[in-house]
Amino acid sequence: MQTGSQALSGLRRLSSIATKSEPFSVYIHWPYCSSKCTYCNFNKYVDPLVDHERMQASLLRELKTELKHWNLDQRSRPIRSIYFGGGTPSLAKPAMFQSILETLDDMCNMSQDTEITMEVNPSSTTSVETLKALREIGINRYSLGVQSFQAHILKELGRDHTPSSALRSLRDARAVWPGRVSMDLIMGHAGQTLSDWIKELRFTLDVVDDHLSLYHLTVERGTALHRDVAQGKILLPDHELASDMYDAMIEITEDVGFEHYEVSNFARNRAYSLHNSGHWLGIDYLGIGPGAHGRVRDPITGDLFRTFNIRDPAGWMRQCTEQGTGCRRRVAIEPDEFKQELIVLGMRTSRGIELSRFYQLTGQDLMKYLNKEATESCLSAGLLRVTPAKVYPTERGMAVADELVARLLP
Amino acid sequence: MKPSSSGAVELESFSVDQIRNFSIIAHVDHGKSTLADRLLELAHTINKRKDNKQVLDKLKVERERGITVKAQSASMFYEYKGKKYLLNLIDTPGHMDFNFEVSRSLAACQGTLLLVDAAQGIQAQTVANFYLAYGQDITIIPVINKIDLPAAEPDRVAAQIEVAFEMPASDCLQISAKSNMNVDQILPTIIENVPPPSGDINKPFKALLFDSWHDTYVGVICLMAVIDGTVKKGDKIVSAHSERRYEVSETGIMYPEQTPTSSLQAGQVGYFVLNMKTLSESHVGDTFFDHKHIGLPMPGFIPAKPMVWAGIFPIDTADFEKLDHSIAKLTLNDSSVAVQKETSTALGQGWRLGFLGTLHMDVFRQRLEQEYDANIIITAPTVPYKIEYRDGTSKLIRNPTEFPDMDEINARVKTVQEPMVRSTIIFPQEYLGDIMVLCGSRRGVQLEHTYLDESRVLLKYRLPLAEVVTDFHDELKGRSSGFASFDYEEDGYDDADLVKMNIVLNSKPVDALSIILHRSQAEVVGRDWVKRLKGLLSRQLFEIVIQASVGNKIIAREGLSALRKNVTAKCYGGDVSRKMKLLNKQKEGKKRMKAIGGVEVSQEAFYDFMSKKK
Repeated sequence: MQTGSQALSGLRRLSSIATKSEPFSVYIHWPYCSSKCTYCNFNKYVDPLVDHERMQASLLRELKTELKHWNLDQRSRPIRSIYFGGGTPSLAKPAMFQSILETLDDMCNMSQDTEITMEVNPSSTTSVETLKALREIGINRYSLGVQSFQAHILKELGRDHTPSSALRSLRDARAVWPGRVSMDLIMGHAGQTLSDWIKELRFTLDVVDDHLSLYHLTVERGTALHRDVAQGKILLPDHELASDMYDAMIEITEDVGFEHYEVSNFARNRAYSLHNSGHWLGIDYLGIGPGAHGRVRDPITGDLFRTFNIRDPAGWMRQCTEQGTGCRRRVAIEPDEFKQELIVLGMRTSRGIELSRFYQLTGQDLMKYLNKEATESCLSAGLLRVTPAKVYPTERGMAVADELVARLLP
Repeated sequence: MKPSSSGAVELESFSVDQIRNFSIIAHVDHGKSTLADRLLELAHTINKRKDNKQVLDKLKVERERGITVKAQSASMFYEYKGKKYLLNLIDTPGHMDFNFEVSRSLAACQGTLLLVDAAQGIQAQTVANFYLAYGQDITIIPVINKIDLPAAEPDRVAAQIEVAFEMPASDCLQISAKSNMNVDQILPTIIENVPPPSGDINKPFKALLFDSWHDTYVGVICLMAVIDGTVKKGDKIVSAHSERRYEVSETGIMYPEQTPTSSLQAGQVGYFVLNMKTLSESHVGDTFFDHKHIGLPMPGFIPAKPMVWAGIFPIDTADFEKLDHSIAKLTLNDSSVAVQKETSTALGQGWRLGFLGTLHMDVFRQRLEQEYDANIIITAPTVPYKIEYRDGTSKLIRNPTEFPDMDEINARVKTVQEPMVRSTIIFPQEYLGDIMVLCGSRRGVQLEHTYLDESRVLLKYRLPLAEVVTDFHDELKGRSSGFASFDYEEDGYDDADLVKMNIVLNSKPVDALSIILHRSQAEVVGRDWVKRLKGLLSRQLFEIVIQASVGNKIIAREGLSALRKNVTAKCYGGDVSRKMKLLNKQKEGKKRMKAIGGVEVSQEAFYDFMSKKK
């Protein structure tokens, strides 16, 4: 038996070595949207009078403060990825992106390999010129929130774009960033049949670039969708139908060369999202902007922290002005919690968890950590595979990852 | 009656011929407790108040269910024709499960009021109670109650009494305890008709113990009927059963609370404090003597045998200690509950409890839940089966897990026997067909068929007890729009073709779901159980096969296919903390699950399965 403090000091020793050269990621949150989607519970605000200048200044201020605080403003730790998410970051002014990227380039080790993604909603107003300008600034990956190519579904979801604008945006983006465009699509709408979904998927695969995020519609508390489902106004696909849709999605994407590398993510030609997979691999990331979360190591003690920013943009900006950061909470992540997080996230990916990486990050032998009995029963049921190098879920295992980890964890 | 200067009531002036000991026997809800309240008011034992509601029914469950579980007693002083009388009302439980209590109460009486509802007429417990009293050879006074109800038919009920009990219709008193009509006729009738107790005050002390309970402050309190002699504080008396000597530290009457008296003498009924520590010392039916004059004991009682056994388990296994304590406290005052520890692989640690009947079991469960806040699972009840071996030995089975397997049956067992009952069912004649079909389907044999009047039928059936303890009563009520009443008495053992049915999850038997039943029923019950269990289990990572088996033979099967998809769609930066919280909740839930054959079954699923009968 290892005591908590022994484990903690082990974790510190290993991680402070690792920290010196480990890459890290940066997430920037733009909290505004032009309308509310019925299924979305993200931290977003519909505000026609956005103070762009103040927002930009606050983001910059917080970025600088946090980079210094976590000792990330040095060349030894390269930036793996930068992600502009939201909200709807495409509503921000190009100058915002430019100033942030310039700051990061100034203060840190950014390279050609740094993945810089921008999340976008299809819109009729974004011209190819604008896209090219964004590319000039440094954006090198484009993630388009298409969600559906069917007008009635888009309307139901409360999206403010049309199938044709989505198609045009996709075509334009592919012209500017060939091989580096991703798009989101949602399955499991009210009334959707298996053949509806297959049809939509086939259509999508004809126009898609090399990355796809296919999400099963999730009913989140506090959304209009939740209310309608609770009141019985709409009926979503049941377990059997949703499972059929999920299985069809894997089969059809595979036929055209896509690799199912995470529960909801598919890539062709190895066009994985560096940013998201970094998160799954336990790589540090800084969270900047209202409501953003981060996971970073203290450069001196090696302790891992989770950071929580103020959610409300006005409050967040105020604190940025007053204290240089809108962070409201920094909480040490217990060694055990981090181990569990790595397993929870790893079991959602086709590459699973590498034993050496797990040991490097936690000082723990993964195979000794997992519940032995559960591991064996999941192995024999064909939900899990174990090699000398890693533990990973099979396709069937990934589909029930939530159940899997609840059993595998001690 | 006034206490003397010493603070104790003096009873010496009451000779035997000024004493009457009586009880009231009635079907549930025929107004026994209300009549008792009226009589106690009439004799000024209690003040006439609006809230004199069922003074004798002290337990919450008794008031809620309108039944009396424990015998109580109360004394009254009443003047009649210029003479003072001491009347002791000994209360009796009004339900078949508590017949044992009824007979022990009746043993202390010389007379009883047979109370019948003027609208409902004779019911099954009226018949059962009548025969109990009849067997004790005591005076029975028929009383028709609730004659002021719009639906009352007192003359018709009097005619029923004549048919069923051969008592002249004209002897029936017609009263309404609720509105105090004719209640004043009752005590004079008792004095006139019930003989005084037959004791002799000049003989040495002798008394019958007929009830006892535990009091936190003074230990065990014994209710006794003094047969001969007198007794007072400081006297030394001895138990015929244990031969232990006790010094009397207090005597008194229930008036209606414990009221000390300077003495108790022949014919009187009262309580004794003897410094007994535990109820096991107070053997109901025991005779006590003056320590210098030990004579022949009274014929004792046959102790109540538990006839319905069930496993009780905490829903949350962490509650075991608490529940253990609660059960110990409850059984302190109900010695008729038999308690054994039991361990189930499916449900964990618990107890196997023996009850007098299913109502007794329900009352016990209700008291555990109400008075001790317990969350429990009760398994399907089992009656005591008898295994007779070829070598002449025999064994009583109280738990399906003890049932011999096929090999043992073939090699060693001569017969398997089940307990039988004689049941009495009374109902309006339009339900005759349905009720005969029900009794037939429960393997019943008709013994008697009597018309109490032109529209009411009395049936007697011999039935296996096992058929009666499951849902027979509910079925009877259902098929007769609630009009049928039912009672039974034990009636020995019969050979039967019994089998043990197992419920098997992915080839592993679930011990808590084993059941002993008649071979002819196994298939129907098996199909029903696996189907219901399927509905209560949630999909898991593996396919679940639910089977019912008898011996090696599978008699029913259901499959629950594996969970195909359960995974959160989005899990990025901000989603992780929430995801981890959900995961911890999920893991907590798993801790409360039992894995049987790799199948996780929650205690709640067991609870739902058990609490819904068939």
